[in-house]
Amino acid sequence: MNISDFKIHHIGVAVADIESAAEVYRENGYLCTTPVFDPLQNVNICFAEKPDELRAELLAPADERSPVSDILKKSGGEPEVYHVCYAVSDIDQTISDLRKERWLLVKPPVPAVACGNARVAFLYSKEAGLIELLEEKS
Amino acid sequence: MSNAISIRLETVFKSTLGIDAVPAGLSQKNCEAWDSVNHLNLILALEAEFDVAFEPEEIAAMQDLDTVKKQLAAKL
Repeated sequence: MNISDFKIHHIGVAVADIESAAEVYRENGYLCTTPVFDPLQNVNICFAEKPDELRAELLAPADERSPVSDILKKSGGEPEVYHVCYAVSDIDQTISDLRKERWLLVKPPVPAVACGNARVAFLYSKEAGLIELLEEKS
Repeated sequence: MSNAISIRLETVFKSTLGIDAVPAGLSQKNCEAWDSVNHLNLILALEAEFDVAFEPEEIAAMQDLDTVKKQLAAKL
């Protein structure tokens, strides 16, 4: 299994303030969804979309306990692309396959409020970094 | 935990975190190099060195040397 076979769903961008970041995207022709709070990641999330462009997920920490807060601390508060999300049809099977290739399961599948409660999971490899899997049922 | 296992564990810590010593009481709170990214690299290195697999809740709990030793010992 190779992640390059997967379809990219979005890139995840850590930002300090969701509204100011969304405003910049809007000024550049993107449509931004209304921010929602994800209690599992302790972040506020909105998606910025534009036809034929890569979708961006903007994530701002709700407080210091959020994992996104650590990312911003390391970046000096600057926006940082920190994960790529891939859409898969069977998240459990994909995780099982990636685990055999020594990917680390960081966060098991959970419903994501920002994605219509579709299940998402996070995995990490030293070589490829952090990825998110989003289960899209056909 | 046997001395041989402890030595291998120390070697993983030193090489992953780039530190010269692995003192008792080492934790994410008192080791700057043990940040969130190196934490994941450390777990991957432990899995490779000892041919074990850790679950997400175990990974989240392994924030200090003592807990890492306990979690690892339970799998060997």
